[in-house]
This record gives sequence, structure tokens and C-alpha cells, in this order.
Amino acid sequence: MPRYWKHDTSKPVLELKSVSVAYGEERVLEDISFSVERGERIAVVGPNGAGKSTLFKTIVGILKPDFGNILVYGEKPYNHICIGYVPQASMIDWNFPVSVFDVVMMGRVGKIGLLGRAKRHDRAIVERSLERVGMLGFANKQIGMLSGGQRQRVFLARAIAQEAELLLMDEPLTGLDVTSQMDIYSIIEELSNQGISILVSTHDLNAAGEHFTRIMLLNRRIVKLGSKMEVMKSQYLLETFGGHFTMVEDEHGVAIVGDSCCSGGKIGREDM
Amino acid sequence: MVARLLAIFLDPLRYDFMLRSLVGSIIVGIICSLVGTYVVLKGLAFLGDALAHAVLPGLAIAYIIGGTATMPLFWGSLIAGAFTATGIGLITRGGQLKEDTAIGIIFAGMFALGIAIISSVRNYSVDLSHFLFGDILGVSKTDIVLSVTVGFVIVLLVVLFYKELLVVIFDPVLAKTLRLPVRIFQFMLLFMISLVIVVSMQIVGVALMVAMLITPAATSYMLTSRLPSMMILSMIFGIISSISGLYISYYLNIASGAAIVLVCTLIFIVVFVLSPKRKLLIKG
Repeated sequence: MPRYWKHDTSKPVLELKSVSVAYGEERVLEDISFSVERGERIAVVGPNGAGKSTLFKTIVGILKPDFGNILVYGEKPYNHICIGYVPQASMIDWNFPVSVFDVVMMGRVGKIGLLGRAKRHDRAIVERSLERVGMLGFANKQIGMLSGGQRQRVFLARAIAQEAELLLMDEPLTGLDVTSQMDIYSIIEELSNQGISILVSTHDLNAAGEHFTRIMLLNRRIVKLGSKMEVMKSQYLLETFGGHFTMVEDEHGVAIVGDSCCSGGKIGREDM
Repeated sequence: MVARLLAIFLDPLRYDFMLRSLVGSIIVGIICSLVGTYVVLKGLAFLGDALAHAVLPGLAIAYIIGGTATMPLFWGSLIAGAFTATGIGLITRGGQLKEDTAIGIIFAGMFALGIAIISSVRNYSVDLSHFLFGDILGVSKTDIVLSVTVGFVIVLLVVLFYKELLVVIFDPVLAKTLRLPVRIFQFMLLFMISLVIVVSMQIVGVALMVAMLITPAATSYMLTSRLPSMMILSMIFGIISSISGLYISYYLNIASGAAIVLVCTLIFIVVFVLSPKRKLLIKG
């Protein structure tokens, strides 16, 4: 069995066909079908419990869909190591005794292989990845010493070091100040310009409209997937958020404050 | 003064059993605290404690059949450990019960079974207390050979799979995306914990085993921010505790396991009060 497939780049990076996922009796995702092209940035927006984390965990391969297919470059994803995942900050033990460098080096573990040792080549990749997110100067810091935005940049560097071609980020902007959010967005945009496809889950509808090529409104099923213009319609938003949103009109157009009453909680079950 | 200290140190080593216990204690100090770093970082203290207690029926049956022979005791407790781990896995699988509940049920049940079996033998209180709290008189040559072998296997596994174990413990989701065999590594971790418990039992005893697993590792956790230095420091604390505990046990005639664990705990308290991270916490 090959460790990872040769990529047939004529096929979409990611394709889901009628995927359904259940926790026991409870259906969390229903009939999800969409595909992601190279270099696309898609924001996955929905209220808590809409299945955003579940969707990502299913794509990564932690959860098995009980119906439907997931294809990465037209093949089953189970051998691909080109899927990068930036976990929610709450999933990481920030007191863990590892340095920034160690964390980014973890991204190389798949390529180095069992029983292999990190070579000079791998260290160079780790350093270059850290440099791209502007964190090289922090390489020897323990990860818990960093600010929220810096931590996210380190995990982005890890995905770069992993040579991820599809990057999934679960609520990467929660709790970050505006400057840090802008830093993350500009790195995301740069990465997608270089051909990496990125899925980001977020509560922030306005940012989704501004920084992403497409928006997916998710609430158990896909309510609407399309450009900002196609998606930002009150009928879809109402269906997604069930009334928990406010439309604010100003000189820039219509701004939407989504899920204002219940943001910040945890979604789904945590694995392991 | 130096001569006197030297005498205190060398005097007990006239006895073969003390020499054997010393070697045994050093190995126990090393492997418990090495594997203990994983136990502390992954939050498996309760599971470690449970596994240690749950090997008792295996020990008891082996003891009734083969007396204090090393290999039956080794296999008896290892099988009981494997049985416990499987039982916990089976009970949790359905999702009805939380893992700590499953651990509590199985471990208390196994421990009770062990006590029941041992209490069926005459003079059981002596035998039981040796199993529970360690017995430095009982370390045989075969015990030493076994613990050296196990120690070697554990250090080898940690060195060979350092990076994989690190990823599996720090970020299991990443481990999945890198297509590492996460289950196999989790099993390997459980296997290492069980091995350490089984070979350390003679000196530390099952009741206090968890302290040797977590206290040195937790002490070094407060002092370092890198895994390799945490491992090395933890082993140093482990060795210091087990050697000095052994001597205290010899001179004050108290159970070896209790003496070793008391030294561990004392070092922990000193570090906890003085450590820089704690100061930061107080300020923060």
C-alpha cells in the first residue's frame, strides 16, 4: 500500500458526495456534497452544533461517514498525508514541554517516516515555514509563551512544513484581536495564491465575505454554497441561524452579525 | 565525616540482597520516571494507578502456583494488566460510561479479586503487604535480569518512536492526518506502562506504584519546557528517590515502597514551592 497517492491534479482537491455522519442515533451531517478546487478559500459558517468540526474531522478521516464518499484528488483519502489540520486552540495543551520548532517539526513526521530521523533538509523546511509566517525568531520558545495569534501562525507553519495541499482550520480566529486576525488572513491568502486550498470554519460572516472566495452556510446540511453575493440573503441566513443574526446596514452595504446569542461554545464531541 | 557517610552508603552493600535491591531500585527509578513523563503529559495517572492495582489477582494466582519465582509472577501480572486494559476498552466502547468510571469499576473489582485470592492463603497479611508496599528482601537475580531486559526494551521503544509518540500524545488529530497508526502507538504506551508496573512491583509495591510513575515526572514538568530535558530530569529524580528511599528503608526498617515514595513526594514539594513556573503563576 502506498504511503500517499500520486496526485491526479485534473481532479478536484477535495470532493464530498452525499456524505452523512451520525453520532449514534443523532444525524450531525446530512447529504453533504461539494468540491474544492486548487487554491480556493472557503469559509464554513454556521451556528454552534451545525457540524463544522464534524465536517472537518470527517474530511481528515477521524470520523467515518456512515454514508457517502470523500475523495482527495479523486482517491479515497486514507493514505493521503497532504491534508493539514489546524485544531481549535482549546484542543491543545499549551503547557506541553515543546518548543515552536518542535511543533512545526511534527508536520514533517509523515514525510520522514517510521524510524527515520529529521535530516538537515527537514530542519531547513521547518525554518523556512516559520519564516513564512514571521515566527522564525520564536523557534526556541515554549509554545505556551506565545500569544493567540502567534500560536495560530505556528500551526500554519506546521501545515506548510507538512506540505499540505488542503488545509482545514477549525475556528482559527476565535479570541484573536483584529491585528492578529489580519495577520492570519494575509497568510491564508498568500498560501491559497500558491495553490493551497483552504477551508476555515468561523462564526464571523462579515470576515467570511471579505476574505474568502466562497462561503458555505452549514447547519447539518449545506444551506447554501457560493459567492458572497449569492449567499448573503436573508432567507439562507434565516435558515442557517434560525433568527440568531442581525443585519446592520451602513455606508459600506449590508453587514451581518451572525449567531450573536450563542457563539463561543464547543461543537460536537472531541476525539480522544 | 566523609568516611562516615561512605560507611553509611557502603555498609548495607555487604549484603547481597541490598546490592540486588540497589540495582533494582535504580532501574525502577529510571523506567518509571521515563514512562511517567508520558503518563503525566497524557493525563493517564488514574489509569496507571488502576493498572498497578489490577495486576494483583494475576500476581496472587502466580504466587499460589509458583511461590516467589520471577517468571510466573511476571506473566501473571502482565496477563492481568492486559485483561484490565481490554476490559476498560470494552466497557467504554459502547459510549454509555465514561472512561474514568470504567477504570474505577474494573480496577476495584480486580483488586478485590486479588485480595480475595491472597486471603485464602495462610499468613496472607505478610504476603499481601509485600505485594502492596514492596519487599526489598525479595529481589532475586532473575528479577534483576528481567528488569534490565525490560528497561532496555522501554528505552529502545522511547528512542525509536520518540517523534511518533510525541505527535500521538501532543496532537492525536495531527497523528491521524499524517496517517500514523495511532491505535498501535496508544497500545504501545499502555504496554510500556504495564511492563514498568510489573517489573517495579517487587520494590515499590502495587499500592504506591502510581507515585513512581507520576511524581518524578510532575516534578521535572515544573522545571523544564522541553520533553527530552523533562525525561532526563525525571529520571534523575526517580533515581535519587529510589536510592535514598532504599537506604531509608534499610536503616529505619520501613517498607521500601513507602520510603521511596516519601522521598519523591518531598522532592516534589520542595520544587513546587521553589519552581519558577509556580512563581509566574502566582504573579499571573
